[in-house]
Amino acid sequence: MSMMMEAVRNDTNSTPAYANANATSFRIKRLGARPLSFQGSELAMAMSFTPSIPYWYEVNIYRTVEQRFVLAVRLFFQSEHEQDVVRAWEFDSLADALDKMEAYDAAQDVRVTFDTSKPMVVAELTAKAMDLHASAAAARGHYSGLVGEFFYTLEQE
Amino acid sequence: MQATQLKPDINVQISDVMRSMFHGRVPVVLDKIAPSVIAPSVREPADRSKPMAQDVAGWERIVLRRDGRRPLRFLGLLLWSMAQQTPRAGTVTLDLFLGSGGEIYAHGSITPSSVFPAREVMIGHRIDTVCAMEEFLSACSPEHCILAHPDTNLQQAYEQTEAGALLQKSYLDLVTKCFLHS
Repeated sequence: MSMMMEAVRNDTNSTPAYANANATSFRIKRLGARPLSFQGSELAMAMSFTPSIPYWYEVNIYRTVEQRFVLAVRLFFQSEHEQDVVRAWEFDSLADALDKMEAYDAAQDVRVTFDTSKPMVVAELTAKAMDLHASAAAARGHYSGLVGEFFYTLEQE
Repeated sequence: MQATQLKPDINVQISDVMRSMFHGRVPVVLDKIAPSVIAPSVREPADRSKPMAQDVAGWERIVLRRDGRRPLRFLGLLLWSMAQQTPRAGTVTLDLFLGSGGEIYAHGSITPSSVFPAREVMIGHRIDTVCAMEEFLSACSPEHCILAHPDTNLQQAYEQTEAGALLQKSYLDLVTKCFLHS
């Protein structure tokens, strides 16, 4: 399991005048994109870590000093041989960030673990396809449980 | 079979700032506080599975949790509720609500037995149309709650499949009773 994010304490000598003294510098390394760097604070976090499950999701919402909102969706693996996945986006409003959280498809995080270049008979290919389908459904179910719990908790006043 | 619980343990932490922003009470910015806005008080029931008896002109404020989506939130009444427990599989519940505007809401939950490595499923829909009803019925499927574990052997997989079939039958029984009753 590898850490994909660094949180560095704010350096008051290099921050803009409007930055809050309690703001933290974040640099989120993203899959297939440039790192997302900003200063701000974390507003919410939800995670589905369970020791006996090989992977878990973590979602974080941040607010930047520019009053924008960052959503980060992280997929962590228990195994050190697996590469963690982090996706993050920046939005103008909190509602947009929550919409993205709701619309995120966890099936895109499912990996093809078999060798696709190796010839397979139809029966084997069918079995692999069914396994992939089940894995995608499991990932979606896992993530949707986390998101449902997050939104329900957020509704509490 | 080893009775191992593999339900995802969900931990949620939400700051007061975000909660206030979400409910539109206090639009707080990092370096200054804006004038607060008084929001209508809403209290949630201690038992999240049941609506609270806080009457607002005879209606209750209801919040229904559902997987992957924002909760359904409305003023309404509980019209019909039934739970069916299958000893080796789990518990299926189905609730129908009437909204203050005359709309109908359905909420289903499937809670697998603790013996199985599976998570619960919660689905909620407004079911004013046939399409919405079909979507609700197809969305709430026990197979969604069976969480495959890499170490699941064939016997465990068979038992999970059997449990899923039992939950499916239980769920369909409830749906049938619901519409026969209505």
